[in-house]
Amino acid sequence: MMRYPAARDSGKWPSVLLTVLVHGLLAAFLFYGIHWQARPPAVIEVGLVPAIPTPQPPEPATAKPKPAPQPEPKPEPKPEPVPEPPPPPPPPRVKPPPPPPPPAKPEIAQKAPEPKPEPKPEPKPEPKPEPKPEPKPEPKPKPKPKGPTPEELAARAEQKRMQELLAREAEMARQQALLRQEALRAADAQQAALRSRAAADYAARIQAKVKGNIVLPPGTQGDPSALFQVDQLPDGTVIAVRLKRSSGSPALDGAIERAIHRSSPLPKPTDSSLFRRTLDLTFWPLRN
Amino acid sequence: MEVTTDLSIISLISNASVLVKLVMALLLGVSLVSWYWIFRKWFAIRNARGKTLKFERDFWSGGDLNALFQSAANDRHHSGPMERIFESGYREFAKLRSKNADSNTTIGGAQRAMKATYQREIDDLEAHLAFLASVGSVSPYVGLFGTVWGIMNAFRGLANVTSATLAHVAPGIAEALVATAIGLFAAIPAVVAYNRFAHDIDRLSVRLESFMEEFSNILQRQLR
Repeated sequence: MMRYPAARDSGKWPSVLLTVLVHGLLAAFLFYGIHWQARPPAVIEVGLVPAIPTPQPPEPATAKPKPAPQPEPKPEPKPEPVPEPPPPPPPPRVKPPPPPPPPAKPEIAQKAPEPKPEPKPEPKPEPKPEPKPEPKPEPKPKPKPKGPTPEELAARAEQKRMQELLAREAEMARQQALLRQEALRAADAQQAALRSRAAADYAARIQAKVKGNIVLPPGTQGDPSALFQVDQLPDGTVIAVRLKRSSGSPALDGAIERAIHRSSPLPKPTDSSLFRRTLDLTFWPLRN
Repeated sequence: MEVTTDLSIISLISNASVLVKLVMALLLGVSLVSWYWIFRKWFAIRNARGKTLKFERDFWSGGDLNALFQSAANDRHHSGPMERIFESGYREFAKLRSKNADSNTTIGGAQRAMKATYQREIDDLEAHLAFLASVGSVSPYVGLFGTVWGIMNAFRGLANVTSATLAHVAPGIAEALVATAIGLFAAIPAVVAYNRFAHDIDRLSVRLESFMEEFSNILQRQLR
């Protein structure tokens, strides 16, 4: 059968026209119908950067007073034993004074509790007060509710930036303070260890000296121990001796008391801060 | 990358990478062609339906078959599919009857002639519908490909920047998304048109088939 080309071709050019029209309409719509963000916020020119709050970090750095106090080496105790009057009749049992092993028990009363409270209050107040006052005054300009002119917008953006900066700085300061605190705490712990060792050393030296002066009454047996409270002057001179816990033998108690009096200038502590007017000392006269 | 990015459609397209531009060009071409065929098919189907209606009216108004055939044969450049089916069927019927073939052969021949014309007509109407279907299903993917590629490039550019902000990728992503937009613009009308045209052609073919059956009956009656 024959084809009918003329009929098939119907509507060719109208179709082309309409197609172009449709795409033209779409293009026009994309062009004018949609508000493309062709203009940026249009306000990046503002030049006021007057007072960037100087960062605080340098300031707190100076507030580091702690780590100075370090126990001095011990030069004093050496000369002391020399002038001491040699014990007149040292019974053979009494050994020369090797520092008695007993660990520093409650002999030396409490150790200074000061270091703890100190670091805490210090770093806190610093970061807090500073960021606060600054952001306050800035938000003020906002209430001007007139149409946000470009300058205002920019100012606001600037403000925001500043606030962010401030916040970041405050955060940094806070972290630094934390770090410092931690360092301080570590130093404190170290110092505490040092001090406790020094205290033990101090007690041991007193005990050794006193022990060298004890004249044991005959018949002493077992491992008796007595607790004495000793008042001393800053130079170590013994003022008063009180028996707090008897060894069980009044003779032994008396001997120890006499020995304490005889060792009158008591050895001084290496760290002067360990000195106490009143000492609680335990003695084990028979223990090496 | 400048701070003030101009996001007009022109700059979005002109700033896109080469591959994305190719994808956009391809999609634009596809869109043009598919719209062209949408209009062609629209006109053709509307035309065929209108002429079919008109011929049906003429045919069932009880006119003379010979007169109808004459007018259809004379005016074949402007006839509709049903008219052409009628013409081919009646022509074959007339030829076979003049050769004194038996009735079964005559009717069978006329039916085959009508069937052939019917298939040709439907084929003509359905031509290029497959293209619309392909555009509808594929062009979104093509656009998506362009978008993915553009976004990949945008993020790769981001890798070299120390302080990455959205402003660095946003223009690239916007450029890339234009490809998807064009793909969708091509696909949506194509899908709608395809469904519409397929439905119209189905209805038309049902009408033509029923006409063929009825016309066969009429021819059979004429043989007696």
